[in-house]
Amino acid sequence: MAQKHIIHNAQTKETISVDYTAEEQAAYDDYNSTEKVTARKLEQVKEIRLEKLKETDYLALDDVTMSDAIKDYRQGMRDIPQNNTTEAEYDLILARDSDGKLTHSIWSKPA
Amino acid sequence: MALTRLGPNQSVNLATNVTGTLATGNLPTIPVTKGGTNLTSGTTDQFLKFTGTTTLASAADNAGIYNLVTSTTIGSEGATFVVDDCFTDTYDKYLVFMDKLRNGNNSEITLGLRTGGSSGSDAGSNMGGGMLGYRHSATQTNSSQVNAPDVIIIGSADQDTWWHGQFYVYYPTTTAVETVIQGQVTARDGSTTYAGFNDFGYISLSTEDHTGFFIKSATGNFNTVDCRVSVYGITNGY
Repeated sequence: MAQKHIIHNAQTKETISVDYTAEEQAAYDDYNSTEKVTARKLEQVKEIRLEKLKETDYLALDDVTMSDAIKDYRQGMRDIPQNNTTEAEYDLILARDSDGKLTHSIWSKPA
Repeated sequence: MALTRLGPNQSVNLATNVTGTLATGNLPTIPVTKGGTNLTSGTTDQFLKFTGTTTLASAADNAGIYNLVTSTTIGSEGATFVVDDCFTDTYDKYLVFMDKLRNGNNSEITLGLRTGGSSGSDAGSNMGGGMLGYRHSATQTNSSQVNAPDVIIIGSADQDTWWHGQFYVYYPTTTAVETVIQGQVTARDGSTTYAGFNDFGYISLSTEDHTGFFIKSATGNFNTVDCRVSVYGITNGY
């Protein structure tokens, strides 16, 4: 089904509905394709991952010993794109509880 | 107007001794000093103002700064809400309210300018600037664009949730001055647990005569006929 413009003319006060042009509809469909939606969700995952990695970057300093648990935690986040490729998988990784906290175990930082 | 016959030394009782109607041609103009206006005519839609301590004249209402240009609901569902021919040379600054907007899908919301007046079309890919916001839980939202046909004001407006906002438009029709859009929206962003505001500022790096604008839902429709946009032209105070 074609998307529509709802166009209001401020001078005549008339409002009409006009279908997207073929070019506009193609752009709309491309933006909402599974491939593009999945790619955008992966970008969200990467943004979160970057923040999470930054939180433990200090453990990689020379005068600190990084535990194996933290190493695994960081590697697990780095491996997200290789181990998860579908929109459904990214939805699970991006899921949040009612407080807005990420619920997937991959974000759980070891004590 | 008539007076009843009076007896000798009888004073006039205005309640009982006077009847009829005084011809309007014989009515005096009441001066301001006696509680009147001292005017014999007026002009539709004008107000009275003092032009001296004892003189009044009619004058246009100059108290308002925000002048409604148009206000409309979307009327039917659609992915792009367009208002054409709302920016003219009458004003060089405008305020646009977006109230009770709601989309049926989680969607990026963008804003763009139009040219061509009543037969409008989208302006060129000349918009640049950024959007920066803050939302629960303590996270930032941001976006930046250059040479874009439309620009992001909400990264992911939550589906079926009302959102509201407003933006100013500076010099849309003055081709010698770049058009700027500056505004703010508050919405649930990305999910029902994310709520926050976005500030945004964009400039059109072109010399186009911008006569309208559009608000676009990148995914799905604005899904209520109550979505309303109101455009006000702003009178300069100088």
